[in-house]
Amino acid sequence: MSDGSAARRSSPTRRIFSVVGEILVTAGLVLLLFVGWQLYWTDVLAARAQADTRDELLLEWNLAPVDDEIKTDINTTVGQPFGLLYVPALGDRSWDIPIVEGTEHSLLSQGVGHHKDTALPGQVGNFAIAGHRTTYGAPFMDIAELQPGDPVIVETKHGWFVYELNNDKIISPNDGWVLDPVPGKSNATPKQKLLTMYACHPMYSAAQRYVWFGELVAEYPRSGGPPPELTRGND
Amino acid sequence: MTDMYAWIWHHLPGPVLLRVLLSIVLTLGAIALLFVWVFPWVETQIEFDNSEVGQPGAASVVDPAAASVVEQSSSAMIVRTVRGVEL
Repeated sequence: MSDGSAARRSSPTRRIFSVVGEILVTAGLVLLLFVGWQLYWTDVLAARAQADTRDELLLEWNLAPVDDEIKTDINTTVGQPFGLLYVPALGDRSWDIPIVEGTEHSLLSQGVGHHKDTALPGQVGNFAIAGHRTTYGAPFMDIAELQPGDPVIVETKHGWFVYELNNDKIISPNDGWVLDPVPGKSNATPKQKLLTMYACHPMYSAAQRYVWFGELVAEYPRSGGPPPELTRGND
Repeated sequence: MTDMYAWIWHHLPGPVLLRVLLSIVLTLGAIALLFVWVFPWVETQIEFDNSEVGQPGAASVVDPAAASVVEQSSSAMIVRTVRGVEL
């Protein structure tokens, strides 16, 4: 460590090295901090924001009169949460995660995003959602570990909707067909109630997307409480 | 500006103990600045987890809806992509 008098005495070359060295060390520390922020701090931020959103949703739903009827034509606003997602096989990461209307980057930090031009939970067509594989709580970190038959449960103000996964695929980011009302059949008229959920692939990259397809197998009114499929895994 | 850290150290007032405390406060302040403002902004700029190709990147960050669904009214065909979605 050179003090002021030493710095004044040192040669210009030494001084340049000293300054460059300081800048490089500082840049290295800032980069390390950025990695820490991205991989750790965004999780903390997302957990906080999602807990608040969850509390607000549950408060609103629980204050509403108990609904004996299942309704799928809910009103959604881009940027606003309208449901909670449970993927028991993914453990805590995908347990009561807010589902937000829209898939903008700023929205995916609040939960999982619903493609706003696709069907809503329980509707005929394709309910398409996207979630982070890494960072911001990473609800779909273990999406590649899921198995056919695993349930994906959606809770809204007017019902519980249970989808069952049936097959997965790794696609290119350009494969927009996964969002079609009938995935892969762009002109088909939908008759089934389908699910598409995807995340980035491979982890820490966005070269591809890991996508799961599923189909609605059960729906329940809110009055009956949580559905039998909602059993928490041992993750 | 030679030796930025040495310069700061010599311009901090008071005895060594106070300078150490002030250095810690300054460091924490710098980290807070990075975490709260700089890093969130940098993230929107680098898009390292967004593999968009041949698409107006800036526009899709602001409004990926426009990028994810391009409606071509002439052919009434809807082209969907999941490109604009950053995960």
